[in-house]
Amino acid sequence: MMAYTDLTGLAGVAFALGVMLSRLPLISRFAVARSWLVAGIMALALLPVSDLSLAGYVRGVSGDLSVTSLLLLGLTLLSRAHPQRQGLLLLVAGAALALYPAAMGLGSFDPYRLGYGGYAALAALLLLALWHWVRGNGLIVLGLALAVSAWALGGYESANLWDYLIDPWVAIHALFALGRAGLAALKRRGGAR
Amino acid sequence: MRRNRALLILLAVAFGAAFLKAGSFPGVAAFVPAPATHIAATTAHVESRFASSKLHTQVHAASAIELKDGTVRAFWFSGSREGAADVTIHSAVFDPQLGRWGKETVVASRESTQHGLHRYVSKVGNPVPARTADGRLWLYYVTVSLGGWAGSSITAISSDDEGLSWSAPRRLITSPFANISTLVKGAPFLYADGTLGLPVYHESFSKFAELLRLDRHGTVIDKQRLAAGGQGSLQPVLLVQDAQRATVLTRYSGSEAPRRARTMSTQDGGQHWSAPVASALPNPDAALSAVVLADGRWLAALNNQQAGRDSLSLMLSADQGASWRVVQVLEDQRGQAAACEPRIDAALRQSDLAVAHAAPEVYAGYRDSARVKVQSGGACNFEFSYPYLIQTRAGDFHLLYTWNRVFIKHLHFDTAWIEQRLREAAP
Repeated sequence: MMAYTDLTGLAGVAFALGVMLSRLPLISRFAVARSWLVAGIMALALLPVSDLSLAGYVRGVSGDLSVTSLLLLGLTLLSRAHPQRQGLLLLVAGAALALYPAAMGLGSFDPYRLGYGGYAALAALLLLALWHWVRGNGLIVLGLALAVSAWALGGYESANLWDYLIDPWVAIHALFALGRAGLAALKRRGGAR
Repeated sequence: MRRNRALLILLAVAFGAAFLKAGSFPGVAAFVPAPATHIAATTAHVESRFASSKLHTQVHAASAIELKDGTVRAFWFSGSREGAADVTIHSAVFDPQLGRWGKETVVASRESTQHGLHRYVSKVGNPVPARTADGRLWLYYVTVSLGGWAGSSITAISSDDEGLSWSAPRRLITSPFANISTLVKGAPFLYADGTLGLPVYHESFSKFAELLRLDRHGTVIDKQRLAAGGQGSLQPVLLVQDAQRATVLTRYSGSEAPRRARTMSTQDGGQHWSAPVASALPNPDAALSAVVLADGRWLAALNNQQAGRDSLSLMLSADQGASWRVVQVLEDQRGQAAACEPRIDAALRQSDLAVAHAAPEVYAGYRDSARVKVQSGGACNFEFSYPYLIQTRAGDFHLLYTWNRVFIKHLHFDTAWIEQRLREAAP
């Protein structure tokens, strides 16, 4: 029997495939609503082909997608250029730089350990969320609240809070998007001169 | 305004649930020292045989655990070559009364793991068994979806019938980067509160030893780095001295000479660990295994050399690792000038009496399997590696190791034999 954490993991990957593939010109030319395209691709991605679905193959390499990834994919699906998207990407990029190099062996401190439910890490995250709430950054607050809820409910097979907050793919996306935005800003400044 | 209030309520609910969950986690736990085994006075006993029986296959990374009825179940991986898609996790049971290994069975494969995990798996590797506080048998084994061993994750299966049947596999999530790279090799241990300690190691980008702690349901609740990246500590083995003190011995994969196994210790139940230092044991970048005897001495099985894996020794320390004595050189093919084929024959016959006295066509099968591997590439490369040492409740020792990647060799001995060897080796 399939564990519910496999269902959530596979559904997340299938959703990502749906959102990304539905943007391809070859697929997006179908004259149906984008949400139907995404639903169709998700259904196909979850269909077992010789024991394993396409989502299962991708999940083997990608792992489960964080709540932040799903939130950003949701915004993409809704085609909403959210004004706080940049702020969320900045937070993701900062978290990625703080987490990945150290977690993969740089130095003797492993920040991934903080994700196993220590009070101090949770308190720090709560303060961060409240600070963004005060500043009116609703998207970041929503992302943090959803990720923490999902962790508390055991939504994925991971017991580590970091895996609900970020994943390598959203981190790479954030770093590239911010890098591109930075370059564009530099070009604009150069052009204005 | 209303949206802001809703967000605040959502935050309160989310973090309220999170703090509740965090409060349910077990706190700091003490180690459980080795039980004082009652060992009846016996005459020295030692015997060796092959645990694996499949011919013309590559085997590696054996491990073992005592079953409730006093038999010993071993695990290893077997296939056309290490890392191949056809590699499967094999198991067999040794009956000490009969002095015989049972039939070799397959407990997990790439396909069964992929099917149960609902994600792509390209290969399986190192299996390590554990018994949790509720008496259930678990098997943790390495799985890879992409790339080499550096891309490993750990998969767990459990059994309520001592390994006759196994649950669907579950993936342990132990790393934030697509869950790479965590591998098992050392023997798991129980903490005083019933949680399980799983010595693991990391191989991607840099190599270092780590310790996982799992709750009674097999969920990872903590992960601790035992040494910084770049210090070359791999495949940790934990030796418990008392409730608060323990030492970890590790394989050394760095380049510092002389090549010695690394050691680190804790004085506070594993909350803090000392920085790794070179131990008194040589290490040719190869796995070692060790147990704590009831009287506090340490017994280790290792390649007692700086380079190569063509010898294997049993060594004993009476001063908690400060110095070691050789109990017995179990295998030694170093610097031998004799022709390769007679050496293979002699080693094969000494390893397993049943094989030595088997019908000629049966013996030929064993000999040909060994020759193909040892003489691959025209050389004469013996390998005795990946030892896994356990002590049973009755006090007997079982050592399993890779014999030239062709067979898993099993050495069964008792304390009387160790004492006899020490007396004979005394100056």
